[in-house]
Amino acid sequence: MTIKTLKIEGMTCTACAKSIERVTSKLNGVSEATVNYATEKLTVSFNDEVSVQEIQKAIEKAGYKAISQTVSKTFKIEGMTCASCSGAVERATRKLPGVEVSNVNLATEKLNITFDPEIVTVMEIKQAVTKAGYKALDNNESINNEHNDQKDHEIKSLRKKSIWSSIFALPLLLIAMVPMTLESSGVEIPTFLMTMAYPKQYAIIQLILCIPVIVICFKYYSIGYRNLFKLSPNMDSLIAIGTSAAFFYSFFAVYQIFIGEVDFELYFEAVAVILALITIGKYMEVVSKGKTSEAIKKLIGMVPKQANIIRDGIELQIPVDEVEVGDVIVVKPGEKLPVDGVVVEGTTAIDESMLTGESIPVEKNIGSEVIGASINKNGMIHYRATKVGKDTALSQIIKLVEDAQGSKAPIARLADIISGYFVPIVIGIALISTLIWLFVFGETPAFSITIFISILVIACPCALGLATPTAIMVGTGKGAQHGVLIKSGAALETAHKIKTVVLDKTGTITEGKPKVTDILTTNIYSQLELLQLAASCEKGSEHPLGEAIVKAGEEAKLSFSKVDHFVAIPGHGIEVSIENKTVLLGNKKLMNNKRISLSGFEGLSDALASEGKTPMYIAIDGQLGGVIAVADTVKPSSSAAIKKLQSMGISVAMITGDNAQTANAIAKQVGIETVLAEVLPQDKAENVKRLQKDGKVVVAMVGDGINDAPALAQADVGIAIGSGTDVAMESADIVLMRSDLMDVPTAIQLSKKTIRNIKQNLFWAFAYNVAGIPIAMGVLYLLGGPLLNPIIAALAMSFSSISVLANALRLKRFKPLNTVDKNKSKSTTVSIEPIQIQKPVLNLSALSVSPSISKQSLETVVTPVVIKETKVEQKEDQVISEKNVSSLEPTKLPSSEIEKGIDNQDIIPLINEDTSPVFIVPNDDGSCTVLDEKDNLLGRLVPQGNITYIVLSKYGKTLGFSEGLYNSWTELLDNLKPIQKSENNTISNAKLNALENVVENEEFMKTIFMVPNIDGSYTVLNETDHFIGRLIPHSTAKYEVISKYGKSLGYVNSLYNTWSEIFNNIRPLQIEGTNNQIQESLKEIETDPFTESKSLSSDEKSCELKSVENIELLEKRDVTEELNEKVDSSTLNIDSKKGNNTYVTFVPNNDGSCNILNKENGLLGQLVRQFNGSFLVLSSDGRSLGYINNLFSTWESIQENVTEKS
Amino acid sequence: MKKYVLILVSISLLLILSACSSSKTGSKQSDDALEAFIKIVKSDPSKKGFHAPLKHWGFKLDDDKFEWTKDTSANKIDFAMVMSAKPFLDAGLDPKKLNDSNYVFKPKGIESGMKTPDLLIHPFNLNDKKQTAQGSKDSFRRLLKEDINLVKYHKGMKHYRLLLNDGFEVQWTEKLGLTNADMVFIIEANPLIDAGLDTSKLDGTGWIFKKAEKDEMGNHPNRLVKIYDLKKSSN
Repeated sequence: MTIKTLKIEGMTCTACAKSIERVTSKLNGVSEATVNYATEKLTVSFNDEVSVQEIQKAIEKAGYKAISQTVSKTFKIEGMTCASCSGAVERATRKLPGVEVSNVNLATEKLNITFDPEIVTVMEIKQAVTKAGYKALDNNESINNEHNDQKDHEIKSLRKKSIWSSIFALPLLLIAMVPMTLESSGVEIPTFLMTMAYPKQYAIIQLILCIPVIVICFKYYSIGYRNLFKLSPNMDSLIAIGTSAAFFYSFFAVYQIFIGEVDFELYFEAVAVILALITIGKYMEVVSKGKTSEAIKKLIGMVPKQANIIRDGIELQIPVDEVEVGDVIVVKPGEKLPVDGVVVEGTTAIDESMLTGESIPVEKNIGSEVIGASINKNGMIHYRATKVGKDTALSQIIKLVEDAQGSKAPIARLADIISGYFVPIVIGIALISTLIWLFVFGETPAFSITIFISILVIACPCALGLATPTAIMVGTGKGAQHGVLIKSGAALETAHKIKTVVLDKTGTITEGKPKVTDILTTNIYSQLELLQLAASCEKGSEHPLGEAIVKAGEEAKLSFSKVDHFVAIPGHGIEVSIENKTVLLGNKKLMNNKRISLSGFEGLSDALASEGKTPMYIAIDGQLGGVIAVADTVKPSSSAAIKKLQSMGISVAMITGDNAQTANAIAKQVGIETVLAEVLPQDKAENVKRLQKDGKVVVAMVGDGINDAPALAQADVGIAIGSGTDVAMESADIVLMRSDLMDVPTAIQLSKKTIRNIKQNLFWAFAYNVAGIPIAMGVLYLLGGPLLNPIIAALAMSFSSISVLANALRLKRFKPLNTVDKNKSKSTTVSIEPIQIQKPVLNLSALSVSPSISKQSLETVVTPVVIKETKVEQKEDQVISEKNVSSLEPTKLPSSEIEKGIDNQDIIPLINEDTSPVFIVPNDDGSCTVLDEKDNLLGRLVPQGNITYIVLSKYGKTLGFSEGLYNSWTELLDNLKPIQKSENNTISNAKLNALENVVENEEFMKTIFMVPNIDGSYTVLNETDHFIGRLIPHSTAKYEVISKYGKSLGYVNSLYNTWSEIFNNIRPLQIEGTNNQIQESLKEIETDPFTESKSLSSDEKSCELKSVENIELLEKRDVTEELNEKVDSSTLNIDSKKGNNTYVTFVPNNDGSCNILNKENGLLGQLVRQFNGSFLVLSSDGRSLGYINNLFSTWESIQENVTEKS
Repeated sequence: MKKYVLILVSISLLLILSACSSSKTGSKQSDDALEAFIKIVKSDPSKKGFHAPLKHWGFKLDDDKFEWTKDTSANKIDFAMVMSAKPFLDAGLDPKKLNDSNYVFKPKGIESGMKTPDLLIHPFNLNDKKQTAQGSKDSFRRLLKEDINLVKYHKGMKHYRLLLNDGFEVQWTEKLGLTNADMVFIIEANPLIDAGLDTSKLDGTGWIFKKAEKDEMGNHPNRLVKIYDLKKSSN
């Protein structure tokens, strides 16, 4: 069976679409024919009994045109010398199937060829030319360009027709209406304006003005009557019949006027105005339709037109259409990747946000896969093309979206069926009504004609035909923009009825990147031996748990033994023969089945499971060797997504093959009550079926698609989560490009909104028709009411199409759930002048270490604050006062407070007994500084989402958490809830639980706690909740380590249990290219400021951003020294005024600020970039020193050039 | 589809056929009267006119005019016998004494830029129903249709009588050329006599005084009759 898509020309409404489907389906050999009116394409399935040409002929007979999507290209042909050469090229190319026209111009050495790209490719054409003994090179036109040109032409043509028809129709309308209206109002008008004074003359004028409009809009008559005679009337038939009747009657009336019956009414203005209005309506329809397909155009526009490839060692620029699989492509920084491929040389970071939604650029090295249309950020790479043309991820997405837009939802089919019968029924009603009025009620022909025209015009079903496809086009397009790919209209319609969502655990709720957390052994084997054995067994495994074990083995640098025999037991584990041993690795079921005694490890295993870890037993030669626990972290958005689904009235269940305890632990974290654990892969579908309750409940299944295929297929809506390049696209109805579970409620919301939009459209479309037809028939007139003027009918008809389109376009305002709708949320703008000082936070750990500290200004944690105009979420019934913070001075705590703070190990926060309002100053990292009326620091609030805040005292101690904001600090403290680090954690935030690690090991210092911040960074606290530092994640599994003083210490590749471990594993931070703000403002300098061979001129206002490669790895040191040094200094600045210039380096931070370090990497201060391009200079203790407009190489220069104002 | 088309065509034909066989005015007599009248009007199109502001048609008969409305809701005059008042005034008629009678005196003046003489009008209001007539024939037809007793046929004289108020008639021949009385105005004489008209002074004006009598058509009051010979007037 062949499936072909043809472009259809000549359709004007869905009745035409139905007609084509009917005609095509009748042909022998055609099994299915579907026409999409919105995209003007026919998809036909047929066998050998019928050919494409026969199908095209049948369609032409019906009055339309079906064209293959041919493309015309021009190739430059090399090697031709005479006419016989050109003849040979023509013959060679004409032989190819799919080639329609092939002409060679010997003089210009060009081959012009028209072909169907679905049948023959550019490569095949080139090969044919090569085979003939010549070479074909040159550009081509894409299908999309041709399609766009056609659309542009159609729009221009309609615009011209609208203008010209209006030019004639408007004066005609004025002539017909104005004198009559004025006369009947009793207004005296000059005689020459009295139509009755010169009836013949006015009749002729009206006729003359009407004829051009008919000529301009003649298409309605040619198509309308043709379809009518073929017994397939469409919208044009209605217009043609109605306006023809009006015109010919008016012509007869002109004759009557000439013979003295001067009171005969003319309808020329009705004819002209109806045609003009409909043309204007059509024009607006085409323009609006173009807007509904903007999403596709945007996707198509992502692909670059040219590609730089290396061929035979030479770099060439060729059209992207000519890139072939295997070509090595060069991509420079800032360029778009033309096709999909694999990196073969270089490293870079690539912005894949348009496909995966991942906003942070992904690092790519040799062997990394890259996606076409993504953007290369900072490095140059060479990569080998693996997928080109239609095979690229973007093309697949485009096709998917196009297919979805073209597919019909069941509700759309209903509209099609109705509109298919609508036109003939309307003609029947019009005819019968007219005859009844004429002959039964004895009305005049003119009256009856009015009835006739009005019915035909008002009953036009064009709005009905547009109602569904436009909404689907906008809805699916919007989804695609946000990474939600809906594959069909049916999926869109079913999704809004979802009542239950079943979530797969691994990779869906969790990250799907489990890690080995524990290795418990019996005395037979050591941990490493066990790990080595397990990793060797799992070496070829694709299971995430197996991969985790293999990764642990690789990290431990273990060698892998060869596996002799491997058997996977789905839902249980694996059985492997290795090193003359039989190894079983799997869950408890496997052990029980194989009758392996668990030797008391069950309790330990259960304990691990209750922490959300997956214990895997390993048995060697029938004896238990130990347990390896693997833990996967819950995705940050999982909990919120599940909560959102539940708030939408959707039940959420989790399904997993994992053991029940682990599953329950994870389920509890994320708020799921229904858990289907220990489900074998083959039973997942059965479980889904059970939930469906014989079709009574609409169930969606969310999984990664790889091993969830049966369950995805069984579910009413299968939703695949993860990268769009995966096989998930095949099995699911909806594909979520990102790994964000929040996209599930987004997809359902989008579906609901789209279906609602369709229903609104159908209502409006029907309402106009249903209400209009009886009025047009004269029902109201019978009851003493008015008749429907045909012009008003035309206006209403055009308006109905436009209103349906406008309503569909409202869907463009849809926003996914994980973006903040700034218009809707109740928020208050906090207008804060940029650059104000961060309130210092007293660091007690420093004080406790060195009690002899001077009681002067204390160490501060300089968290850069670039205060922008920002909004603070507030509850409706709570009023939080904000203040325009114009300047903040560092808090100088009274000595009594300091002493209190120092002496008391359990620091009691300074409670503001006064219930005066507090002022909340949002920080750039998402936290809020709380000040009292005198701008004294009271504490800090770190939002956790859902109006829950971790409350820190001004000393940095965690006081608890608050579920809301209060008017005063006292009230806030009164309503604090404790943070409990046990199972019954009152903070319904899985992140907090997931990150806490209470494993104690005598080798390490006491454990640290990482508190996630809303910006993705982590605040690191020690056991007594004192602030130690911060971790800022960079792209993949890298964290920048920030000391409590705000100094960037380097980065680590993963999280550790203790601060010491973090210190031990710090690597230097390579900053080139990571902070564009700083780089932009810097110019190259002539010399390295650290050499003294050349000094900068005083006018030189530039600084080198030194690579921090050679910054010494910071060693563990007693921070007391540093602290003392800083505290003792009266200015809290490193003394730089000793006659020597202090050359500086700038170390950019993740938030756009940068630290200013001296040669010894001591912190001098900080620069915070301002909107106007200047920099705020902060001292090391966070005080504002002023502004500079440029960067300088020395601290002295910076200080000299600071100004008060930016 | 073909089935639906066949059904539609059949219904349409049925309607048309039934319509063709039905009466235009509601009675055969009125239909015949209508046809006869239209023929008379068509015989001299120059005498026919349309007054757009008042929405009525008029047919000129010497110095007089017979008018009929296109839309009964336009005003209170659906039929009008508009006569030149000069003969009556010359015969002693005092227009001021015509109050509360079926006559309206319209003194001379200028209308639509044209001079109009003294006129004596007999208006007749049929009803105030909204009509949408097209053409003079259709207008007349709709009026006759409103009341099938408006028109009677006089067999002996072979003419039709449009009966307006008591004593007022407009008559027209069944066929042009049968007699010299192609159209006849009959008006009630008593109100005019009461207003000072001396019927003996009407000689030569065309108006003939007829005393009250009874005939096969019923009782007739004192009347004034004027005969219009259209052939003569067109010549």
